[in-house]
Amino acid sequence: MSDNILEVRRLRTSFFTDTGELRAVDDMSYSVRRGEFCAIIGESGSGKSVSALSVMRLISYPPGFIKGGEILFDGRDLMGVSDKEMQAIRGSEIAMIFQEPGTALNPVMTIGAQIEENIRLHERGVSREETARRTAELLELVGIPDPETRLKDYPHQFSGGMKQRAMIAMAMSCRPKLLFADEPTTALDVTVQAQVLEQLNDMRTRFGTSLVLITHNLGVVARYADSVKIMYGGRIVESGSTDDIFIEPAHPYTMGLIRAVPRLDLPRSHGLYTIEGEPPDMSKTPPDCCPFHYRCPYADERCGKERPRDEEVSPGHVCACFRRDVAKAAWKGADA
Amino acid sequence: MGKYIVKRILLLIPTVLVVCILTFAMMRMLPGTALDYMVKRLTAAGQAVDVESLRVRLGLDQPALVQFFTWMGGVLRGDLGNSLFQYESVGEIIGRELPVTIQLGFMELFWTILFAVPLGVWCAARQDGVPDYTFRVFAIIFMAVPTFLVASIVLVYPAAWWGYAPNIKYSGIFQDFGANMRMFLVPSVIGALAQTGMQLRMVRTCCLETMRTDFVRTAWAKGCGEWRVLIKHVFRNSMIPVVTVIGGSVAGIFGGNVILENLFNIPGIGQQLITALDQRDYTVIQGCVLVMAIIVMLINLLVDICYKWLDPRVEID
Repeated sequence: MSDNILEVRRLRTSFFTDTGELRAVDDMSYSVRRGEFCAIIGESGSGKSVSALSVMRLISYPPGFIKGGEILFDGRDLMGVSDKEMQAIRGSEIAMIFQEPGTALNPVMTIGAQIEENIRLHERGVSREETARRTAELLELVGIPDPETRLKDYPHQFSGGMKQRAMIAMAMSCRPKLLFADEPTTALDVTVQAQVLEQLNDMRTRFGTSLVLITHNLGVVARYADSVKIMYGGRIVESGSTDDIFIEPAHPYTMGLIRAVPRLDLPRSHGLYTIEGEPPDMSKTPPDCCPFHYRCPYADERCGKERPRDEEVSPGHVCACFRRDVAKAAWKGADA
Repeated sequence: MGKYIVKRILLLIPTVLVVCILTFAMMRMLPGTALDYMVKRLTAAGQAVDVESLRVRLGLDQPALVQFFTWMGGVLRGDLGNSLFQYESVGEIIGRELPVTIQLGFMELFWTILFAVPLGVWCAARQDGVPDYTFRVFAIIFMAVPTFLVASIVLVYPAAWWGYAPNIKYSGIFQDFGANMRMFLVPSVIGALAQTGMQLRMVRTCCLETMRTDFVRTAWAKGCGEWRVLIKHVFRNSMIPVVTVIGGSVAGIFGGNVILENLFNIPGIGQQLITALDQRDYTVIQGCVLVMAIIVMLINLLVDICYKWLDPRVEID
């Protein structure tokens, strides 16, 4: 059995729109180790959510289509399994939590019924009482007080944070091996965000689930994640352990992201750093270039003509950039 | 819930009162009175008419306000008065003819829901597939072609080609169920066509909208199969706007389908109302409008209760 619960190789997912093909995920490869807390960071539109939805094969055609690649989950190629098998995997072995807890729960079903549905879908022959008991237990685990009563409530009777906790309980109800959390705290109050993340991390360790957290919150990543993947323009431009990424960033985009984090230790006059420009339009960006070259301060001619290959910076730390050395020197210089 | 229903029923009273006043006033404001019509008809038949004694007999010599309160007083005692033209009380006429109209209406509604809802869901599930396009085209055709045209075609051509004609001899549903159904089947299906077309498109649109929501994506992510997603998650959520539209159309259905009643010789209230309007048969019109208004309002109440049942977010009090 391999060390990796998930291996994605050269995944390509496109959306076919009126303006042409939009390559949302463009040749993306990564792996997640068993029990790992892995973070995928990127701007809106960088293909983070689409990559997760692709692994779950939840891209609807039309307009979306997984054009190619391999998705090895627990040794099985998910691209090759039938729809029926995929249904059995979803919700039991791979689960997902979405961004907006307000809209991600069915408004006309009770919270309890929605969690119970997940259990009953995947575990035949579990009695109604047993499912109800387990649901209450799960709600208690995610910190919902008085769970036996609350599971009869409808989503609109829950607060945003409680809805997201219920989503976590639902996702964890079958003890999945892998959990995607797609910006689970973005829609929540800042005070609630930390609690929900703590809960998520707690449930993950309790059930031994590997977690892929999709976010653009670097603070959260630095605190919890074991490894980080930086996504830009539908690919992973840099990946490595959290320390590698935060202390020794190799890609100019990663450096930009880290510099853009507001710092309390610098004087107010310092101002906020921003990466100039906009994320690339993936229906117009040619495949044979570095998607960041439009905004990269170090870009040269080659960056616009050729696609940088992944190169190992140090063991386990991979970066795809031609101008790594120049960027590194500039980063070191700014640091000093 | 019980409190709410009682409150709504109490609220019916002022509404019904306004309906009564308006109907009464509008009938008197129309040019030509029941008396004029009666005199004209009697004179045409060659009878000598004593206009003044006729006026007194019909009670039209009283001031309008007195006429209104006399009539209202009767209504409150459960007496809708007598028809000015037929030797029958309005209560008898309504009791005989309204159930016929309601039967036709319910059958139209039955066909509409039976076909529009499942087909609409199917079209949404297989969006842009061949059945989707086919049903959408037919839906448009059904909505565009007027009922009287379809009814006329159905009455004329099968008779000309195969010597077949729908049964147009009325028998009550409790007297002879088979004959009754044979009579109502064709007109109710024809009446349902336009409704079905409209509702099918409505159901389809609502389902498509719901299918794009986040909670449906959650349902897929949980590992629900397509049927489960459609029935448990999409269907109920998309029925909320559909019920609104169906509720609205029910009022129209019970208003009497004059054309169908006419063409298929169905002794319903629609035809009665047209005749009464023509003759200015005040009591019949007032009585019919009153009863129909109450029915429509009760249906609206039913629709509102349906909302609560469909959508727990609706606060009913």
